[in-house]
Amino acid sequence: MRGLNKKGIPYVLIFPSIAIMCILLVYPFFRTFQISFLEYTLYSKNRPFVGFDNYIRIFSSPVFIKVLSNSFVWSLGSTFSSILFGLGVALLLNRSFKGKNIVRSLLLIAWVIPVVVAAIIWKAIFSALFGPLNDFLLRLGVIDEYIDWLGNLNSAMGACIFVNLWHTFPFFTLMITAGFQNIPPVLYEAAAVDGASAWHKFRYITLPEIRMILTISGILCFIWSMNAFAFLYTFTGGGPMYATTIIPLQIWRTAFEDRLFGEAAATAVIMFFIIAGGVFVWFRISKGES
Amino acid sequence: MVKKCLSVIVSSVIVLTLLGLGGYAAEKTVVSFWNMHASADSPGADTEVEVIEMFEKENPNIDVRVQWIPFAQYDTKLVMAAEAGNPPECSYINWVNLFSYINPGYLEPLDKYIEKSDIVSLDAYYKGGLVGLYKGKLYALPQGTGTYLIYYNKKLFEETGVQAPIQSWVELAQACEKLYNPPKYWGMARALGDHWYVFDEFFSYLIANDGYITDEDATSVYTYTPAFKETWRFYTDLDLKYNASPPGHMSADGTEAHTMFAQEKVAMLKSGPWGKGSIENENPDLDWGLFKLPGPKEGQYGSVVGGWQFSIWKDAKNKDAAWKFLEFLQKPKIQAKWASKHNLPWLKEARDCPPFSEDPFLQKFLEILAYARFHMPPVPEIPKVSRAIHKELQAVCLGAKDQDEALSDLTVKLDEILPDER
Repeated sequence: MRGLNKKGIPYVLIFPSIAIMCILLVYPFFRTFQISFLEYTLYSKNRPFVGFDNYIRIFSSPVFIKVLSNSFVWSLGSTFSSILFGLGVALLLNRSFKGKNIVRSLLLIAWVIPVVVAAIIWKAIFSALFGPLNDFLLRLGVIDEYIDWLGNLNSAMGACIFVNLWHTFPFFTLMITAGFQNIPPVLYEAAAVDGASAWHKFRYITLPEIRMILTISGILCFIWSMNAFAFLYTFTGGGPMYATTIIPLQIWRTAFEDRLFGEAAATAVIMFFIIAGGVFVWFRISKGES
Repeated sequence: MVKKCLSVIVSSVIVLTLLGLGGYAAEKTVVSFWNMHASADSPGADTEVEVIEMFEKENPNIDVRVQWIPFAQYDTKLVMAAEAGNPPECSYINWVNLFSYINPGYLEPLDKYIEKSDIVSLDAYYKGGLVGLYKGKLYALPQGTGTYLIYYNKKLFEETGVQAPIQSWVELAQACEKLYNPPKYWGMARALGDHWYVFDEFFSYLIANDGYITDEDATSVYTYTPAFKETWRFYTDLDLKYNASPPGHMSADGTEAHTMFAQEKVAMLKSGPWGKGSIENENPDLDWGLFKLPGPKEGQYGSVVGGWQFSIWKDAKNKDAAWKFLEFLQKPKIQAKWASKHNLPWLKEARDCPPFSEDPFLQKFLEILAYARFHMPPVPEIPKVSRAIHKELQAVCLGAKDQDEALSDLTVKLDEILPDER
């Protein structure tokens, strides 16, 4: 009897969390999956089962292929740039210098600003007519006329990735900096004795020791980027010509502008598998490197 | 001691219950009304608040509770509420989305109320406003519509020798060329970053050219017609040949277009009656005038109409009270007051009421109604049609496609979007 109670207690304790998760995560997931097989629109109360029709329509659409490609460019671009830049800044902050703590605190400002506020601020900065960026570059002679950064097919996505980098790298800097604290100094001392250069220390000590942190950071950044809706909706609206439309924005448009909930649900399911697949691949690559 | 305490507690409970019951007896009927202004402080919302207070004074047993929802999120919230079975009693509905609420049966047909009403009669409205008529039943009462005129900067026109009013597309193109003076100013503000703005603007030019995009049922595409082709060319030539708009217009929305005009970066802006408030707010010293958006030839003008409707939701608990409120809003003087700050009333008599009968500014927007119509029938595919046009127009203006290629792709796309029959 005592043994049974002992076994049961953990389940009783975690039951509230599981229940909440089921309501907020599990049920919506399965409901979305179910809706993806229905012709579920807001134009009719008839919602018949249509099998894979929604998925076929999505994959046959050139707009979706464009959106899918944008999503990878955006997510991978954001992830690699944020991690690499975060790592670079973390390495700099790992040295001793005056005002290091102030610098570290100032870095956090970018991270704590709500993403919509960041998008509005940067949209104003990038504004072709009224933004300080164009004014600054014009005065320096770098450009000779105003550039429409957010209305140009060649620069819109780059501008989005740049702002996302600005917003997210502080978080990864902090994570990586925390990782540095766990590296035993004796490893560096031993390497120094063996005549290792700074690059060798970084390549053979620092990187392997923070590999797990980099893996987790990469996964988090990839997932957050793939899920980014608020930023791109506010910053560019997905334009010009779908150039900065990624899957979440397309889901929103399909559901709330076109009222095609079945198709939107199918797109969401596709996105789930893309993210899950991406995370799996990332883990495998990291495992292989170790 | 215990008995004393118990008696105090019991007496308190009785008193409180009676007070509560008393309160319940005096409880008003609540009518929740969803409003597409961001807040009670938004431009134009103050008159609506005033009108609601007038209604509540006349109907002391009804409490109208307004939910202010910014325009950008308004329809999303309505959709979610409709699907969740938790809509308001009554609300604004954008004409573009009416069908998506009518067809699944979310809206209450109003005919039974109208039959008994001394205030509401369908003949009292301009026919164009009755877009809520579906299969013989009316699901929405017209609130108001916008129309578009061109606001122009008198100082910049004078500086460059451009004469107002501009009477034809040739004159408009010439004006844009004269007004091309980067980086100081350009000819026109256009918000090509926003597909709804483009939908309104492009269609205003199309209407000025007496063109159509589809037939009456929105099943056949008319993009091959001379009127459509001519409008397509002219609208894209504004970018390609005449440099009509400043850098930034490809990603701009309507708000930025108004800022461009208010900050005197452009000499012309297409806007509705609501534009005045926003321009004067940003630059009260700006000397501006109005003229009708011209067509290809002199004497041709155009504008789209659209605007908002009022509906009662089928799942509402207090439909009769909601009808009382909407009926009150259909009194001509009340509709005139309600619309006065942001659009034009659909009631014929309301247009003869102040301020519409007295304000020369509003009268100009009423005049263009003679040349105005809806873009296309209120069908569910409108957002897709709007985005398809937007994408192909941007493709031309960004140099990704030439005019003919984009028009051909648009035709194919619209054929896919629109059903063969309804």
